[in-house]
Amino acid sequence: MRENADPFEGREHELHRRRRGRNYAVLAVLAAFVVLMFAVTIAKMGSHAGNPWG
Amino acid sequence: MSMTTASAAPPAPEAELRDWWRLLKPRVMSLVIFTAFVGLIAAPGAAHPVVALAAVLCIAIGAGASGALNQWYDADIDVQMKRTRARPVPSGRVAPGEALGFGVGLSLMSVAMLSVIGNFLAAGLLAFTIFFYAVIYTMWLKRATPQNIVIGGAAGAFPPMIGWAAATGTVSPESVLMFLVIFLWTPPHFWALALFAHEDYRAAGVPMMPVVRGERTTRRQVLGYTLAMSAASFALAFTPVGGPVTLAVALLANGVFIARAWTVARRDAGMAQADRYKAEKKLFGVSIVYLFALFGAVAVDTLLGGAPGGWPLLF
Repeated sequence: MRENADPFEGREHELHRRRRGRNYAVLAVLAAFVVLMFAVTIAKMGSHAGNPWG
Repeated sequence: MSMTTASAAPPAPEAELRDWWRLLKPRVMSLVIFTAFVGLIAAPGAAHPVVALAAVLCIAIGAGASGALNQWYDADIDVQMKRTRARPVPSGRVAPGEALGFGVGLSLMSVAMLSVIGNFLAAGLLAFTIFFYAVIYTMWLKRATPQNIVIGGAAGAFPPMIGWAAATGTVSPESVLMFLVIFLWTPPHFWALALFAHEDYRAAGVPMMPVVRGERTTRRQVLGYTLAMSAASFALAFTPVGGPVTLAVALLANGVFIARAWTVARRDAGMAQADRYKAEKKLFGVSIVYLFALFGAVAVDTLLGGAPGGWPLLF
């Protein structure tokens, strides 16, 4: 059975591992971006409190 | 494609996360973040901490984007130099088109975000900085003139001015002086590196000062720019963003920097080769500490309330 094993199996596994890591990193960056935008919006709205046109 | 052909072909390297991180030139980015932050907090009128953090992040991303564009365009040079051939694009881990897309995408995003978070002046300055570094320096000056890093140094000098503009919406004499310090700091900083890496630049055909004008002229100019930079840093101490801490650090840091530059100026190629460019490498290291120390001192003076009453001011 050993000689029929897919010679690319190990490499495919490695590629998937890297891609998964990269995808999680993109997810983390996007989540951080959303949190930052929310925080900036709150901060900007706070600085104009009492002045809806400011 | 047959199995035989597929087996014979070398596996295409695939980029890892750290390759994308390296495309942003993180070490250059750290200097940009720090100087932009100091420019922002030194500006009159306190920005909200979250807004300040977001603005500095935009400036950092913009700087990283210009680093990616630089590495996309310079891959042909980088592959010939020992110092740069392991970078993501010349090593083949990131395709040139991907680096270009990454750089353009982050540039547009950072400028757009800064226009919303800060103001149009800060965003315009950031856009100009990215354009200046990626197009004026990388595509034109770097391959055309030994004055490449003198003029191109402006790109690295803009961040404190952008930080200041993000906080105030203005350009002021203080922010121009911070720009001037980094602008005059760049030639001695970079030529110290070019002196011990000039064989690399010669091989790659990049007209750096030591390659075109020789070591002697470069060493003399290193000292000249160091003295000019010192004058600008002392002037910074006598502005509303300076104060006693800035003056004390300027005295000490300039003393060390000038002493190192003087040593480098007095040496010749033979002496440098004999000890493997020890003094030049030392000057390069000192120059990095210098900039962090000086801008750190401005930050401390700001946190202490700025220049005290009765402190002599230039403007």
